[in-house]
Amino acid sequence: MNKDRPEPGKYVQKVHQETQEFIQSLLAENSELRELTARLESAKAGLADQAANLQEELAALKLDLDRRRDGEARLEEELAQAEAKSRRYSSEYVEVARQSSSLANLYVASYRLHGTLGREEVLNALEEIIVNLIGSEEFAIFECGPSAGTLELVASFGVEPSQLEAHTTGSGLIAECARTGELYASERATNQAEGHDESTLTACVPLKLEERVLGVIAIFRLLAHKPELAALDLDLFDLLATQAASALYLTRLHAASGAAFEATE
Amino acid sequence: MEAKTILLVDDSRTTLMMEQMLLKKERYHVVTAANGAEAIERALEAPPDLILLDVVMPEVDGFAVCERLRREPTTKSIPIIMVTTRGEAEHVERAFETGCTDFVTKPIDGLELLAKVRNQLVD
Repeated sequence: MNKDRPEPGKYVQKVHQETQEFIQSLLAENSELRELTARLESAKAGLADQAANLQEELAALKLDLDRRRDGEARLEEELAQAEAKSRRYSSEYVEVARQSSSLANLYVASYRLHGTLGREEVLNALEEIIVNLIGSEEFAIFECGPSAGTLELVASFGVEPSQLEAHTTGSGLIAECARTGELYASERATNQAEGHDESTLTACVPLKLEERVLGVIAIFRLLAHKPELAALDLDLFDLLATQAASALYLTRLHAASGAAFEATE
Repeated sequence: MEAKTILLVDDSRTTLMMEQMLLKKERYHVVTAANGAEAIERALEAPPDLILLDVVMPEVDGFAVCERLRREPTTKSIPIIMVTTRGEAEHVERAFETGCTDFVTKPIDGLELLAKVRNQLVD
């Protein structure tokens, strides 16, 4: 018998023991794997819950975002409306301020014309109104003469009286204005033209009292920096047509009544 | 806040009256002078916050007033807006040479004048 060979019983016993140990280790490993699988299943379930929660939160956030976007769009619309309102108020303010300034001009003109009964002062007020409020330093004031269709020059500014003689009779624009009582206002700039003939006439204002024409204001060139007549100028012409006429008429009455009073004394 | 004082200088009563109406409406305190000499006297006596100065005046014109006020320590820094019927470039240049701060032409545009006054009197 070979000494190196184990006894058959012992060999089987050894194999059996090793097999038992291997089975035990497999069972242990299997148990560990079951536990691991259970843990992973549980973790998976937890993650699914978390994913569901995140989905809910995401949906809520989307809803919130939509609401905020709506709010933002509404605010932008309100801001645009507020800006439009502000622009409207601003332009209304400018318009009111412009009208207020125009009224101030008209008031000042009227006040100056009726602030005196002296003829020189009325003519001086007229001169200041035309220079400072209308913007011309070349004009003449005529009154209707005793003969029909004639005009008498009573004052001129920036124009030689000799240059105005031609306008006192005839059928030009000035004479026509005195005859018809219609305002003439040129729509083109005359401030670059030469001389003082009717081609340089910017406006011709009839001085009227109860539809009777008492005289005419002829305005030649406007100041160099004033290209054309403005809306306010036409309002001033309207005012001058009646207020200057009555102011000049009153100076005559006042002078006549003064002379009569002196004569009776 | 105390109202700012503006000295108006013009030999035209019409212009003075119009400027007064515009500026008083905006709550400015207004004093007036009808000629250059009176303007210098008033400005030195009680320096205003701003001067609205007509250029074309008999005897002492606006340029002379401006030059004089710029030499005086109490008035040299007062803003001066010149007002004139002459809008030509050389006239405007001369106005700035004499030391004016700004310039408006007649007939005065109320809105333009108020904007220029506000611009000079801004704190």
